[in-house]
Amino acid sequence: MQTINQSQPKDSTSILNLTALELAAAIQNRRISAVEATQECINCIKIKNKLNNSYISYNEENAIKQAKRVQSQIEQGKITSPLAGVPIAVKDNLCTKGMRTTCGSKMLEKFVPPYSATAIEKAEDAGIIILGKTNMDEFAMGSTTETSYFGPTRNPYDRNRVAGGSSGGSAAAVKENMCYLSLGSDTGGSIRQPASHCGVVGIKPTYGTVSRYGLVAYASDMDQIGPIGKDVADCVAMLEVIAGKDERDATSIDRRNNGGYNFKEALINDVKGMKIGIPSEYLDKGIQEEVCNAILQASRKLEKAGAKVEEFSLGKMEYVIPTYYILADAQASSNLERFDGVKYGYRAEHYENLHDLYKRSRGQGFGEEVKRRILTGTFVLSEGYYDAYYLKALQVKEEIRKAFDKAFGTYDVILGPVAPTTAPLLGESLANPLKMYLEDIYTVAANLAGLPAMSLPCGVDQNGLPIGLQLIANRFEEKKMIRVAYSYEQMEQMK
Amino acid sequence: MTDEIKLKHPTNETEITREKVDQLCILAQLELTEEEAQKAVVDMKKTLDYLSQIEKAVVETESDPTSFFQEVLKEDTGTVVACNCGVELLESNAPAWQNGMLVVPKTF
Repeated sequence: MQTINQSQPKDSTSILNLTALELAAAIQNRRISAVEATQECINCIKIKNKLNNSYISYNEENAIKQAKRVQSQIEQGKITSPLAGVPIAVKDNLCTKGMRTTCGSKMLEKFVPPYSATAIEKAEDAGIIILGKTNMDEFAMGSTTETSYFGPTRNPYDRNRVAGGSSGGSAAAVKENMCYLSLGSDTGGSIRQPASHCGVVGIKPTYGTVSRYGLVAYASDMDQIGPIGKDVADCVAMLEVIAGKDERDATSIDRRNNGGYNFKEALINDVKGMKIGIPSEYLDKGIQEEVCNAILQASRKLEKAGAKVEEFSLGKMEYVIPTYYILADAQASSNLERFDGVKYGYRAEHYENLHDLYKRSRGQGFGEEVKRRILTGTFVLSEGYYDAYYLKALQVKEEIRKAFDKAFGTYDVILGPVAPTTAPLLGESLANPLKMYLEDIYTVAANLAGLPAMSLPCGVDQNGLPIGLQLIANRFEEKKMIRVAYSYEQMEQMK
Repeated sequence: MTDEIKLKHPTNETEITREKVDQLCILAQLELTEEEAQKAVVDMKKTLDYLSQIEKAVVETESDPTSFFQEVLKEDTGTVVACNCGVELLESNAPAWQNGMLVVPKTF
């Protein structure tokens, strides 16, 4: 097994080992320049990307140019953001003006967006430097980053294993110090699950907290952008940068009266009196024993620190996967209709007429998993099946939301695993698509109910592979989840 | 046909056949190779068999189907989203472009 320790810089004093907030403070204090930090990341990418394939593209010249501009603005006192000068990576389904955005697909291999996503604009306004675009499952459809047209991202702990997905490149890049923070998107666990498999922290905020403008749509009522970072405080700082109501996304929410945007005030090392519930269904059959033990051990630590922890039955868990895949595939089949080889994207070389152009361009431009989901989505929306599948799934989604509402009447935070197992071997999941879908069992419910959820490391299995702890909070109550996560992280750092 | 696979549908008996996959491909504007189409028959059977579990889910109230869509059927607030991107970028992304226009095959 090739471990991360063998591939990381031997110098423990390297600036790459700093957290994003530590780096930003060092830049503000003129101990390090944004240019120096950016160059270090680029050097690291040049060495490691051949090994782990985290980045689909990066632009050294552009990143250094951005860093010089930001450094100058910091020196003039024009930018004082807590993350000014920090180099980050961005999942390749977020539009970046003038920078290729492929969605991990042959369909968009050469697509250069004419505008940037709101989250990117906000990051740039805060003086954050975009290093490049990270690898992902094609159109975010997958849990391993293996469906990417550009090849799989390899796990930082064992390169024979997957990094998780769909934001696998974003998670691996953070763990391998190829950036200080990254942005991912989470439709059914795509931030939390790769964060878990790569031993980093990932947050999916409440639906509507971060504008989806410029995020290439997969399932519009569940897609949400969020940060992946080295620790909880870094993720919280990044979330504060990108969150906000946006007129260009009708589903974004003004949170000034809904929990607010000051997430860092929840960085409190104290869980006394907090009520934490563990759904008994989460620790039922199908979970790797070491994962189950790590979750229970984490819960005991929180209990020892003063939280009230108990198991309860959430209910409806057996329907979360069917509900999610019916709704997600239905939306995918609709959202991906725009890729037809006319306005942008791949166009087949040979075709006979307009419809032939559409069919061949889409047939050749999309990969196997995307086509599978488009066909399933088309089926569940077709006449005669719509009521039985799509409409029923909408009704069950509502029941799942009610089950969480009931749970949050008692508990501040729900605790559980992120994934039933640690990172699988490359090729293992792709061989059985249905098995891959079932691995999303613990993450999709938060998307169906629009809830905030996060992943943070809570141990390793016998092979040294990281295990992720998932925390879920009620809508607009990220602060409760962040408080528990931060407290747990502090306990682990004290060891 | 040997590639016909019976699928129990939640409400009425149906089957996923090669012909059905071909019909879905027409609806989805997708061209599959012979190998892909055969695999799609098998994959769709497995997937839909699993998804059809949703039939068993008990929903407490028969919700008004339109209530799900109220959230998205908002009044138009008149927000204008303008893209100040140049024609050059649009042109550079277009698979075929001529005299400021997208080029597509003749339909008439």
